[in-house]
Amino acid sequence: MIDRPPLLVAERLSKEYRTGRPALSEVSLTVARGAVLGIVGESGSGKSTLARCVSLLERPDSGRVLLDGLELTALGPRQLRRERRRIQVVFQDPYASLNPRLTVGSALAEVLRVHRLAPPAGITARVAELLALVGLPSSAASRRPVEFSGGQRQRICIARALAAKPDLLIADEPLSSLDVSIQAQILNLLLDLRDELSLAMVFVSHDLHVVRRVAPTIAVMFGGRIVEALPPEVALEDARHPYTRALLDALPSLRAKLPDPGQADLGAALPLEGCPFRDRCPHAHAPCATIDPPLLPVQGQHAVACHYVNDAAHGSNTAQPVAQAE
Amino acid sequence: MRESEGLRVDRLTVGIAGREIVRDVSFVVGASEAYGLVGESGSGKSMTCRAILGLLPPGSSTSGQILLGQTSLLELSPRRLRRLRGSAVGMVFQDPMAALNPVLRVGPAISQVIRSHADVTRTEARAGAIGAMKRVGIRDAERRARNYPHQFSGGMRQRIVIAMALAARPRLLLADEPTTALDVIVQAGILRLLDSLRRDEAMSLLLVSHDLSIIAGMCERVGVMYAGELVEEGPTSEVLSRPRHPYTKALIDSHPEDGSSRRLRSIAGSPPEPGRLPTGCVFSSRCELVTDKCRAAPIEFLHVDVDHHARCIRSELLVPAAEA
Repeated sequence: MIDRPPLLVAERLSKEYRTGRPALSEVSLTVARGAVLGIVGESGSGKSTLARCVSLLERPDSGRVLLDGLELTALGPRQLRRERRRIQVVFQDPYASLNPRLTVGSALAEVLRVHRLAPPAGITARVAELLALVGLPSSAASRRPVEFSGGQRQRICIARALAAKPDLLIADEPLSSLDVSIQAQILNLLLDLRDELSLAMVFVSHDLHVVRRVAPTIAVMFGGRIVEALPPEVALEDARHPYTRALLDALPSLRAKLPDPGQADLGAALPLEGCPFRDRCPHAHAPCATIDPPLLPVQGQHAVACHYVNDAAHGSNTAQPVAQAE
Repeated sequence: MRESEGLRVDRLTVGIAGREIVRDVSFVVGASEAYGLVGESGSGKSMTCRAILGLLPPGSSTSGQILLGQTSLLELSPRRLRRLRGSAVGMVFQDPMAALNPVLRVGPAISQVIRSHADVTRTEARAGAIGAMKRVGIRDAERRARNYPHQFSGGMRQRIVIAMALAARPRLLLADEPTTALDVIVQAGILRLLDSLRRDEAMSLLLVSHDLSIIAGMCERVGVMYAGELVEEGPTSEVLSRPRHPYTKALIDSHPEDGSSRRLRSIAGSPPEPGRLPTGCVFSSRCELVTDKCRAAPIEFLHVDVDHHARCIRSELLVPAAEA
């Protein structure tokens, strides 16, 4: 029997908008069937651009996206439209993501009809099934989005994504617009779906703690690059990249410590050459100004893109690993 | 008496269009103390702030009392309230862009605040503005004073807003979700800044947030709001380690912090809407400890420990067995 390829392979994805540093440069990752990859970063880190390029909502300038061995980036618009069903996205703002004029039932039914995923006679039953899956009563089908709270709307968005029977769900900050007590509900729902449907997921967030709850493997992004890949066995406290460390120190905590902003000169644009983090890094030295550090393994699957860390770990190594969720 | 210089909110109730948005809220922010108000959207925390600032929407009604030092804020004329805002009470809100005039350079914007609250010359006000920018950690303040708001990053803009709020040396700074729109590291910088300014200027701070962990590191005392009521109130360390209201406990339990991959404990359901409050305890529809008595009549704000109050008749059940 031949090994099936990983569900999602993204190779050296780059995307440049008009100004400054590329939004995304040479980012690679893989997600196995039923696995969850977490992506963490601040605004401008490239995490949403990565999510949009992986789901082909936006074409990367270069690089390849392969889903189940099929190269999506090589497809024309018509073929891509056919395959698009297999990657679904849930966005941050459920208010902006639902058509206010459609009832929830017709929004879900539309997905089923377009992709021919249920016979006309079976649509109502399938809609009820989808609503039950996300914890909503079947009576929700006849109501419009305006009648639901933020958390319920996010459930509707998730149900609509699931209606397409995706192989991969991309959740881009799905909790950020929700209240704290509701965030936990939606987070747990995503975990249930991962387990029940063995759904593969890419979970994008600015909050390391939240991401660790969902995703054993985490890719930390900064300046359009993955700067650290944290496999499940490495605890957050053992992260090595100076940016990841800064992020951990800056997270507010219930343990009543004042968060530490480090020595950030915030507001300064990222340097165009060398390491994107060097202006804010306590360990920056000569090579950081000229050479953008490659993502290199420090131990097993744990990889860091930092001259300071990598020089200490080994002399020279040119292999470029990827963030792997297995 | 220490409290006489701080802020005292006493049995405050705010009604808008016949609905009580804030009910029977009482707390004290001592002089140069930091007090945190935590709650979800619709909990009434922002309306409480607006009542303090005299910025309630037209047609709203209030009862109870708000005292800043000896001044009763609810009895002030609109004119005197306007003088008070910016001078005795500084304000910082979530969106710095909304608080800044986009066509006014930031230096003159801060000078304007200084001149409207103090009798100083243009030159003195200008020097004061640059001093204020330096105090909030803006480097090269002389040059940056000539920049427009859009030439600053989100975090730097919030620093400008804080500089404006502090320009007239207020006794109380009211910060409503001041870091919600900011990245984690930028947020940490703003929180540090607020903390050190509050200590250096001996100013009271009322910090409002939906995030308990932000309050945890910043405030000596915390009040937890739910559905328009203050449901728990006490020293932050006590409330966090020994919460005495089931909602507070649930908020702590649903925080993702401990780094494990376990499922979060979530609170089922959603908060009641202002027009459809339950007869008894406002949290009764979501509470695991609920009894018939909880549903029968509104719950009083009960004394549970030293300086620690909770609106729960079953709060002793939350005390760890070893201590009870």
